[in-house]
Amino acid sequence: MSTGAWLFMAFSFLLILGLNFFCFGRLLQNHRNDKR
Amino acid sequence: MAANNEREAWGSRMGLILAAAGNAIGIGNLLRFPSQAANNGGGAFMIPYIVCLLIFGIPMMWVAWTIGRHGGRSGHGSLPGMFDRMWRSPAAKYVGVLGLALPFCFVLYYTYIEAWCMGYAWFSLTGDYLNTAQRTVHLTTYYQEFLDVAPSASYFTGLTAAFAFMTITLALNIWVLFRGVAKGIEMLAKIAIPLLFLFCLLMVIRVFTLKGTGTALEGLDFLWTPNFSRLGDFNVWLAAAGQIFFTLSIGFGSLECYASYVKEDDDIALTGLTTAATNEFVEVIFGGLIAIPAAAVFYGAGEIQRVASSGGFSIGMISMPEVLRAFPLSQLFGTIWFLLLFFAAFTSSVAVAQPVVAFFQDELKATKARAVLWLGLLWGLGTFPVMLFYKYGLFDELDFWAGTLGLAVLALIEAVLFSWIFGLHKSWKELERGSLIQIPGFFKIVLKYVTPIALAFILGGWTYGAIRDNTLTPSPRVALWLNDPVKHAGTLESVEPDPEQAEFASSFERGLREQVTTAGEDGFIRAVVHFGADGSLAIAQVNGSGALADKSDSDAFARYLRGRGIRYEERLAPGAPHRAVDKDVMVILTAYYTAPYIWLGRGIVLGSGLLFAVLVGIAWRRRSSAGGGAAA
Repeated sequence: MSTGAWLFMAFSFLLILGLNFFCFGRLLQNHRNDKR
Repeated sequence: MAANNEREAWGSRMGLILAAAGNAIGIGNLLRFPSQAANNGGGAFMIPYIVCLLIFGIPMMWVAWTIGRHGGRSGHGSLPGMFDRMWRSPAAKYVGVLGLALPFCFVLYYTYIEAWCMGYAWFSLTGDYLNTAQRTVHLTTYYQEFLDVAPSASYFTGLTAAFAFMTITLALNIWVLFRGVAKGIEMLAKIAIPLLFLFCLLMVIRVFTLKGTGTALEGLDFLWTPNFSRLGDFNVWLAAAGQIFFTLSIGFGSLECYASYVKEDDDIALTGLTTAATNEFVEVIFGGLIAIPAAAVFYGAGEIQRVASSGGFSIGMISMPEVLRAFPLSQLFGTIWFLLLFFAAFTSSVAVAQPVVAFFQDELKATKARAVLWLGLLWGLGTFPVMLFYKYGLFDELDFWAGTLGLAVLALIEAVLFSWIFGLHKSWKELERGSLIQIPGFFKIVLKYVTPIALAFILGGWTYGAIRDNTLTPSPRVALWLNDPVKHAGTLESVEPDPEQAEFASSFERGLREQVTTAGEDGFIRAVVHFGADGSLAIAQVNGSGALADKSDSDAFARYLRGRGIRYEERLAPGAPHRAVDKDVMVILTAYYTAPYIWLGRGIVLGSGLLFAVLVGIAWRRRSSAGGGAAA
């Protein structure tokens, strides 16, 4: 695989994973706060 | 306020997120995305894709959730009522009819795709499309016979199998809708979405452990190598915008309907964002890691372009089973692949149908059972023409009006309603009420100016494309077929002919189309053709029927086949390239007279719009005579 392909794939995956971590992290945090 | 205290509600926030993600995640995530990315600049496609996600994907998600929760507060689960609350004009409720007619027309053909996936899951489980010593299964013809498109009947006779799976699919959809929001849709999402993730994971592991002509990494290389020269191409931006549009289910009225069951002060900003994030996870990560790498393993790096450009359905229903059946455990992984597609489609179809159920319940005060029964009757009735006249282009016609152009129109109306009619200030307050995240202020500018302009550009681009390609004028469909694929291990392939011969082929086809249009009926040409391994061909006998009854000129037909560059080719080993061989085969050229069915499709879209407009009129007249509702 070329470096360009690796870079674009890694960039896209990290971006999407980051968005998911942010969203589900906030939901989890809120869920814990609600329990308290 | 005409609050309806008996409206249903979601059981839990996670259930809502899974249901909304199920709405957005569809077949397009796994088939359309890799095909679009590969054909539009590979890795560089992600630049316009992410820009479009930011400028109208996520903002339109918030618009939909805001309109939906606001409407739900006053007891409206569908767009006529929601628009009526936000736009104090007698026309508002009728504009909202788009939010009933479009999803209704969409499910008529989308459920058919869902039925194919269920059918293929069954055929995978039973090993029906595996090659045996007695039976060659040519997967393209197998697929086309299943849909009764091909003139042969080697694997399926008529639409019996497709009809059976369609009936089961329709019954399952109706059953889930009848069980209601929490016990039906939410329950389905809680089962289907985790299964969908598990199946995706299993497929990724399977694809990356296959050893064939090529490697999965070659597929990734093909998909992700950036081609920056494509970034200046308006069509690439249009393709990226279109992909974001389809994948997030914007402009269906279904997310709005789901949002209407959210409590008044519950968060919608984070929920909407999470829906988009989950959808993107399945699309970019799983969508990129399955179909194209699988094609690379089986066909080799040299043929990925051909597979990627064959389109989503071809990748899913022809290339993937071809790849999977060449390796051990083909029945297991074939079943997993098609169940994965089925679940993705199932969670979307119930979502898109729910606004109609909500309309019958909320506006016409029907009981849930009656609402679902009415929808079921209309749905069942509407799917018949879609199945019967698939080969005449009715399916594609509905997809164009309801699944492409209509969505862009509805999304543009919603964007203008949110920012300009209801007012950005009020809309923003509505969006932020109960929000668990702080939405950056720059999205206000995006929502007010960028999103509507971007949507107008998409709409303009598609309309221009339809006019440029003359897709609005019905034209007969011409196709070539191999008569008896069971007996032949090869396929008719098209190679690059010289331009003069190609010109003759084009004028020959034009002549056929004119002849079929003038006669107003289908036409066929059948010929026994001797294909030589050296690329030569000779016609042994030829005859025509229907509108092409006089077409038995063997010289002209031979010239036409040469002009199309048609050869008969066989693949001598799994994964090996096709090779021309000496063979006598019967070739059938079909020309279908599509015009009445294209107009039937347009009639269905228009008729649905009129039907729902009349029902909206009745509902509002009843309400005003009862002295409540819109005036409250």
